[in-house]
Amino acid sequence: MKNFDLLEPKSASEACQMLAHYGEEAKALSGGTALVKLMKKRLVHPSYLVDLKGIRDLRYIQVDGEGLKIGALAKLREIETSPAVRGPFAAIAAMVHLIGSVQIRNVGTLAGNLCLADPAADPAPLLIALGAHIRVCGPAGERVLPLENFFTDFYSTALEGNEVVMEIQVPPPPQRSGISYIKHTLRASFDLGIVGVATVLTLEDGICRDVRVVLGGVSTIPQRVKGPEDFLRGKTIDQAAIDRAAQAVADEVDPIQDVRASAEYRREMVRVEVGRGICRALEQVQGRKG
Amino acid sequence: MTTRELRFKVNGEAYTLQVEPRKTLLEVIREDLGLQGTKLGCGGGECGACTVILDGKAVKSCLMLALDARGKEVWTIEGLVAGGDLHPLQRAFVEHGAIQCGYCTPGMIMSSKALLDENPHPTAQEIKDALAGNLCRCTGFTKILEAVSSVAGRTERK
Repeated sequence: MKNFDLLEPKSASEACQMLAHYGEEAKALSGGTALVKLMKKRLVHPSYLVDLKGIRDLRYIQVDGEGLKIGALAKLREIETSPAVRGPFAAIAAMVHLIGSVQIRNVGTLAGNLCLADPAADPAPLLIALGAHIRVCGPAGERVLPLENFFTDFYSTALEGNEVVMEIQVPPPPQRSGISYIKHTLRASFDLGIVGVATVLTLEDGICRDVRVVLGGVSTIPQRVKGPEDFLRGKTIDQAAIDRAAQAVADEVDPIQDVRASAEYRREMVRVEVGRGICRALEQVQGRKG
Repeated sequence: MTTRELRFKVNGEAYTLQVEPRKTLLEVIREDLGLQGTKLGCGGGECGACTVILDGKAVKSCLMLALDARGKEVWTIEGLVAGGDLHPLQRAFVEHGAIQCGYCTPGMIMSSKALLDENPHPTAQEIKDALAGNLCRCTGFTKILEAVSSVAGRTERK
């Protein structure tokens, strides 16, 4: 790694000032599992690291009237095991469990994962499907944006160079909702997903009131797909409808191809896992009915 | 080159070092402290050969800046031997034939120790989940899992 100076702001605004001052020469550091790896490979070579870990009161995980709130320094393992990430938010803990390995989750943060914006990352699709927001702080103050608008390209986000993430907010899912996240990988553990499918399905009187399906690993950014919304909303969900919706998604996407999988394989896995995701979400909500 | 002070504890002993910010914890452990039981494998946080325990949590030391260990406590494989006796995990790995080339072994044992310290009675799936970040190219994993299972449930010394 190229050598650098480690800067240690005591507040978010101090961190933003440092990032603004050093511009392209500085990067923000939280857990470091992504950044240190990129620096070792010399893909990035900042002369200054702004270490956010000294900023107080950013490591919380709590539920209040508005939903689940996760501070920017909360580690993935803390989220996975937190008593706050249960009940309506349990699917989030189940998804975090699929990320990397214990050692990575002990160090890496959710905010850092989102800022890296790897197209195959697991949190983004589920959090987008749940309508999450992200609160960021810059020299001009704070702003909150829908997570759906946070990702701009692969490894790129709407975060300005002088901004830091403060919090991720997830509203409670609507009543009578089933939530699933499926990570399609080659091996059972540790891999980045080839395709990730997040599904949030809401029923009312047996009819699908709303459905949101967001894919990871298929495009350069998480992709919310229209197929399920077009085919299932306002209708009774049966297997034929699920199959049509899944096929529509497979037709709708234009998958990337990379060392992990071809575009055709991804397209087929999208079809299979979208179908499974809807079935699992449906079972979940129907299970609660009984 | 500018250095910064690193005060931390390794295997129960306090150290004060001057390190460059770019040094990883793995480099400091192996090169500055001469503790070479912890291995460099992939260098990218994927194989787990560099696993150490930091404040009770298993971490990949090749992806951790040494300065991120300031004020903290690190345990490496060398720290498991007490008074010349092997730790029960080490003994179990030997007895179960869970070691072939031995390169993954320190990392496997540290991940296992971190698991058992937090969860003394893990299920078979919990053991697998805890070791998911440690790769072995020799053994096929089965004997490693058997070795860890054999220690799980026994409440001998940590």
